[in-house]
Amino acid sequence: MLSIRDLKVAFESPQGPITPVDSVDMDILDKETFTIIGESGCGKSLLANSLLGLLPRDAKVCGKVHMDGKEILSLKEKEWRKIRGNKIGLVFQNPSASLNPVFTMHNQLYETLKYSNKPSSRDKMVSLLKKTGIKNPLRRLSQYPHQLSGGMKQRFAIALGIATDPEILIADEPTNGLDVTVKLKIVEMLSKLHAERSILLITHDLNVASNLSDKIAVMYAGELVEIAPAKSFFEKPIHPYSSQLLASHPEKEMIPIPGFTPQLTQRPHGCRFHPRCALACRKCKTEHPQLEKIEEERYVRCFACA
Amino acid sequence: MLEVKTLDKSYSSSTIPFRKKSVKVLENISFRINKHETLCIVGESGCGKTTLAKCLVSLEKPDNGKIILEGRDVTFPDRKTLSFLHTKVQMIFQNADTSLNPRHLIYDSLAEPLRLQGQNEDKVRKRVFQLLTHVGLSEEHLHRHPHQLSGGQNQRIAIARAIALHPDLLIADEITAALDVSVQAQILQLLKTLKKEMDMTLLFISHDLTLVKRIADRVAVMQDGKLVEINDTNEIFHNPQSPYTKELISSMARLSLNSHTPK
Repeated sequence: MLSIRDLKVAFESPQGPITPVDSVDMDILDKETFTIIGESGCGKSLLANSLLGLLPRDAKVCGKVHMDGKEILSLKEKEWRKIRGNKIGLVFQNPSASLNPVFTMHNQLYETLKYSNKPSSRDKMVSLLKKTGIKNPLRRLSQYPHQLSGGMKQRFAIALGIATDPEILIADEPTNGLDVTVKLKIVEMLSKLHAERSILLITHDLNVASNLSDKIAVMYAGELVEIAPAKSFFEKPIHPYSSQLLASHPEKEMIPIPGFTPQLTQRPHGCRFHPRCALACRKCKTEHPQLEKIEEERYVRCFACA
Repeated sequence: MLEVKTLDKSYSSSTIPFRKKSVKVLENISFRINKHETLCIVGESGCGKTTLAKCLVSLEKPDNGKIILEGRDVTFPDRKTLSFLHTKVQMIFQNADTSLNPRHLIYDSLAEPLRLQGQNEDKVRKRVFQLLTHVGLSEEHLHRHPHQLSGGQNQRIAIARAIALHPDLLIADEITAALDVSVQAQILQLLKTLKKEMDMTLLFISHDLTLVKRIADRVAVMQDGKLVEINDTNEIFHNPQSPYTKELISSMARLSLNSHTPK
């Protein structure tokens, strides 16, 4: 459905060129929940925004993204508008900041529906809010964002994302900052939605990832280092970074990964994870590994594991 | 070592527009913290966890009740008691990126509590270097500003500042909420080592039950400003009494890594 080949996002910085997203290859299948996990600053959100043509002007994007066989990265702004919302929907990070504080829910939903030429009747809105589990939808429509709780705002943000019935929904950290009881409800709601469409989920929350995903991709320093079916990933992660990330979770041994994530301007030569990796050999320091297929549906970027 | 007796606190109408009534944030809170233990307070956002912590270090004044630290009443401290309180109890705040002064160099942030205690600059300097190695950072970080460090590094600085005066009780308020799991594990390991080395008591505030299960000796559960349950960690997780605790624990279990269910 969506196939991404060698996608790069680069910027000029005072310290020289930086590439926060580097050579990303992945395929999202129809009605599949594909999750990208990784730590803050690894390039997850930038990758998501590049799929919608929502990058700052000074960003240089190269590579190919095909949606249903059509290349979309080279589109003009006018053509992008047909894709955004209609084909690919987005649930922004942090709804407290991304919803417009001076418009009611009704206004914001109306705007979204109108610009994608969808029927914008009140009934349609009510059914959308019901679908995302918002109780008393008629009253909610006339309220402003500050009158809703964090969980409610998140539900509304998701309602905005699916309002135009996109084929793919990109959800960027949809459970950030929510309490465990609310988080569970959002996860349950999202898992109902995923029977209808593909979802690209972006999160650093391993619990959410494990409960929603069909496939997992792990991102480290701008690169995907492992792609695997979710079940086998959580049973047996292969890349050293993946296994150490899982091991640092409180449900597991909670062993920290030594060292810090590299800065954009000072990425190590060779494998980007080698300074923190227990399995690193000489080759890892000098040569850059590629994403290799090692089993059916499993790809790993590592000399030691491939 | 610290005892809290029937603490009440409400925020008055003047801080919340269009509402005449005052809002109760803490209601009849009583508990004690024993020496050398790790007590965790859990509860959802807005339940009063942070307000309670702030009352303990006298950043908020409670309406009623008593806070007794090593036999001394510190509920409404005068200057002398306040100084006593702050050498004994220190707090690390939620978000290190905002709790450190953005215009101060890291060195000054670390030196401030020492200077306030009237130590001379030579001593201060020595202690700052010592603190830095304690929390696993190096001298190059001293002459930077908070925005030049990562979230995890800033949190280390905040910890260093809190332990600068050798407190007996360290209050950690959601200190890993904004951090990634791998950095969270680093920070908690650091806290664990420091607690042991310096013989500290820890009051750890969090909404992450998995984490709490891992580190707490005892757990206190808060809901809507009330303390609904307080017990040993094992008891709380295996034999929860209040319906709210049960709900929290079942949510946690249903979101666990092993409960993979899609399709």
